[in-house]
Amino acid sequence: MPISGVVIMTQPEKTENVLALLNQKDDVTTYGVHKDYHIIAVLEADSSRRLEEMTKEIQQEMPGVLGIFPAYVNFENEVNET
Amino acid sequence: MAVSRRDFLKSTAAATAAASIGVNLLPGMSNQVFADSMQWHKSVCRYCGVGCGVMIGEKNGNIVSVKGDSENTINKGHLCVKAFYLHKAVHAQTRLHHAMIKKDGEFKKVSVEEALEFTAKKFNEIRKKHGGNALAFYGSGQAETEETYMANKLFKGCIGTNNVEGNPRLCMASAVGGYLTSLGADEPAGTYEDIEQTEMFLLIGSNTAEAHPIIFERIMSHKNKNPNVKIVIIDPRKTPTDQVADLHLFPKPGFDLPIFNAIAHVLIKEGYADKDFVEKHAFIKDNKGNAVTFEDYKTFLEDYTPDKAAKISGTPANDIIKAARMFGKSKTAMSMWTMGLNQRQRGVWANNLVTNLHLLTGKIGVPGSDSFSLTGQPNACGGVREGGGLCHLLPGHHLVAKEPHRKLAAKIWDVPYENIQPKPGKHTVAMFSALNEGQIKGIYIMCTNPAQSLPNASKYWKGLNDQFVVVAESFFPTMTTKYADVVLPAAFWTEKEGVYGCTERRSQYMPKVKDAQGDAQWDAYLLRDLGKKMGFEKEFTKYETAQDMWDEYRLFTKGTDMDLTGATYDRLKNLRGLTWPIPDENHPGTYKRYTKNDPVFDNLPAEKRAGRRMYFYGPAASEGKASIWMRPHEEPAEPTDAEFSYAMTTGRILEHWHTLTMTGTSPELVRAAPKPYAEINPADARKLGVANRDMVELESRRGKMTFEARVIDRPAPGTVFVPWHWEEKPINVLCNDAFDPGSKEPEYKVAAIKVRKA
Repeated sequence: MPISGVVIMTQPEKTENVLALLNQKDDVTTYGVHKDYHIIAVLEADSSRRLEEMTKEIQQEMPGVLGIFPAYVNFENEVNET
Repeated sequence: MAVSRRDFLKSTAAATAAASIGVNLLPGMSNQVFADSMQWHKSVCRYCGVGCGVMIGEKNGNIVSVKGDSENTINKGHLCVKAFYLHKAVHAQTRLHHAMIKKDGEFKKVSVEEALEFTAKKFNEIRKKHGGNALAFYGSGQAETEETYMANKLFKGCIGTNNVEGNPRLCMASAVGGYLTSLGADEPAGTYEDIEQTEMFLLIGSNTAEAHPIIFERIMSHKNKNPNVKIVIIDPRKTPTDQVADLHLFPKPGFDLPIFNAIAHVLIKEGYADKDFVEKHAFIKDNKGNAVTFEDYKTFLEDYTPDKAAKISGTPANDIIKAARMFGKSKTAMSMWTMGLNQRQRGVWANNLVTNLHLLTGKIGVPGSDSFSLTGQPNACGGVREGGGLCHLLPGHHLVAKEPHRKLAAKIWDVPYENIQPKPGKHTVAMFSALNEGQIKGIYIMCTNPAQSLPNASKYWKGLNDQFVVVAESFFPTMTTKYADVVLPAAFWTEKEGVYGCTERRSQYMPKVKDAQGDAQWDAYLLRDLGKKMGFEKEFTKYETAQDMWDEYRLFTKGTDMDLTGATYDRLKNLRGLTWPIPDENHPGTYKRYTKNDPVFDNLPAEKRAGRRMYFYGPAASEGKASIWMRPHEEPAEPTDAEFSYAMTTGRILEHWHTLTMTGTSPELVRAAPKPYAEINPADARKLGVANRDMVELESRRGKMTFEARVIDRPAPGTVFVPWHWEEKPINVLCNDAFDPGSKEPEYKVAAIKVRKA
């Protein structure tokens, strides 16, 4: 199961709202708002495709998300399954 | 307390993301986080030209993880979503594992040795019968510098033809022409460091948010911290980049040249010009290159009022004035552009006009100010522009036309001077036309997919079909391999070492992390061994390692404006790249060219620097001055008319890259953005009676195709946007292959089309 640690950049006035919406999503764990309105989150999915879909959903469904930037991606199970 | 593998990975993911913004999320857990059994290798991302540092996690010969390299100054630990698929490309089902020769229309598996023997025999037959100019090489801005270097030596130095091109001709040649004619030397004066120091961004023809997400992140982050920073976009299409824009000008595709002249008009009229800077640092030239006065320039610009520019471009005059005032009032300004400016019949002029604004106001050569072309491919700058992988170039910004440069190349390559032809070879469109016409009878294509990516693509399938075609690729099939007589399996990213040079003049080393799959070999070795089999044993025996090639290449750069003498493999393996010029092994690299702390500038005689803060010392400059150009308006080659009334423009989307040879290997990515589509403005859709997801037929003078309509308020009315990635709908077939007379870069970005409901 791929897992990714991401930095979510938000518009300052919408950061808290984005955080609340993220906390409602399955397979997303947030680790708070940090400097410059960045939210740290971990996305878990059953495939790389689902990871990508999740980022798309977050960007499209949550006003105030300026960008999602993976800092760490682990897909060892997926590679082992290939 | 026992920690499961899943928990461990989750903690690692969170802590790594936090660390990338300087936050210690899990105090006391840092040892655990990094105490994994994985081997981490410092490398560079394989996708776009930003040059992001990637740490590759390898376990038992597999790539199982990636993370942003937090020590890399470009991306500082962050990646874009394409990182989710880096491993997919390496382990893709479509990786090519063996060589093939086509016999009776069918590919037969052969050894690499046999394929190279066969190719050498065919190439030698062609050369003997028709001469060296009947052969050609077509390379890539994705190839490593060492790979392009081997191709250059084989074709220009040994075979004796300058028919050496690469796909950067199709994306960056106008930027090269722009820099050469405006600043006297190719590539930007500044680096990404300017982003965090500027007061204004002018983004032109660039969907930065989707095409260069890490640059966009840095822009956004800077604006978030400094809300007074202005962002102005000039683009016929609204993109996610608009989220942070203060102003967006929507010119009709190909009609933006008058906007730049009108901005200059306002800058002068309202007192924002820095006449002292211009006087000391720039010539003003008419369109033929004759020196004229500042007053002549003012007179020329009087014709380009905002009203006139508005009328031609379709952009409100007030918006042009606003953009000019923002540019003028900002103490610093950074322009960035990509293909929207370059892929044009007058791409060089467009580049000149943007740089004019910086020269006119002195917003260049100081922190936060630069005229900065963004790059589409990871090594277009390093391998092809710097490495000399175009038909008029030799490595190290040298020219085939100059005798001393040919002599230098002959000496370094140890080949007869007479081998290197003084006349440039055929540029890309001419090269594929020559294949059609039978003037070129054999071509070696490396790491690129021209059957899909050329403009007016189907026109050139004949030549690929008729002539002897060798394709060296990591993936199979592609549209181009269908036409191949020989296919050579190439090692892919992580399976070879080498250097990539990105947008900001930074050269970065990439290690070999794992063995190549199947019989795949490094492209540089394939070319080296082909050279030996063609009879150039002596010329190629000395290259045993990648470092042998890099070290020899650096000799070409010694003492030039792009000096890489100090960029040894040892340094590059340890550092996060170096920005040239780097004249010696103690030099830290150069942030700003042509000014203080640029080693070339600092070593100029004192009298040259006296009273000036910049000296444009490039090979195409004179008296140390840049050039402000009086470039008039010129329409695109194919403006809309009553019959073909819509302007079609093409581009990338976030999930995909180029012709899908890499991102298309991931079934996940293909499903994420599954179907070719065309974006149509809602106002146009109403007129056409088209609803969202209806099928529409697009017809240019070169062909027609149907696409699913995406009715969306992104393209301006009158403009249709189509992503160019999909093989089943190769939109480039509809694109125009008219090209810029200076840069020879085709006008992909403007084609007149008809649109109807299918």
